[in-house]
Amino acid sequence: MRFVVPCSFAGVQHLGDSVCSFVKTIPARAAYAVQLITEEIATNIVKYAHDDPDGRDFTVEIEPCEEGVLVRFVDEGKPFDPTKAPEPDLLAPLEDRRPGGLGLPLVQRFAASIRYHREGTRNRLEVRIRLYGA
Amino acid sequence: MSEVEFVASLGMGMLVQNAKALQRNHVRMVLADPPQLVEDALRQAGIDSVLPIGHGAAEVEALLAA
Repeated sequence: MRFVVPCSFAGVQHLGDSVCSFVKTIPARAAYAVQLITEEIATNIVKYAHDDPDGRDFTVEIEPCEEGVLVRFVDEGKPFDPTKAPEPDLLAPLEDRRPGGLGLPLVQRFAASIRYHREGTRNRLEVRIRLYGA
Repeated sequence: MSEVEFVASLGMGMLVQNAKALQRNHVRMVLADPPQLVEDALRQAGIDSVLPIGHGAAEVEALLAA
């Protein structure tokens, strides 16, 4: 399944609706992981990939793989390797919590593996999700 | 939260911001009865370290009173 997503929050919302329908046939835990990872990475692309996202788009492909499900994101935004993003303090007290920063840690925890490549002008991110188990 | 089927970082951030606002008024917030997958996501994000998660009225009331 391949989605071409406008680089906007409405695009992410529409993507989420499409993915929700697509994952109904796989185990619930894997379906949750696919939905969550898709939303988090797509939101990051919209927020940070381009200084002016108007008129831009990116692609999301979801397909079977050895581990279970492969989700591939390709965008033409600024280089960004999410596997090297700093980990926030998830045990910080409430008064020290700041908005944001939870998305990539969630992706890392729900993914079986994450691979990033910069290919020319493109970011290519492949996230694998186990169909069964944690 | 028993009817919440999905929450991602945006929703979690809103929960934390609400809890912070309540804390400033000395009000405690507890997440009650999330479904298992939602609870797992909340715990993976460390939300349970600042927002207690409880199941059933008795446990939730005990957490609120703690």
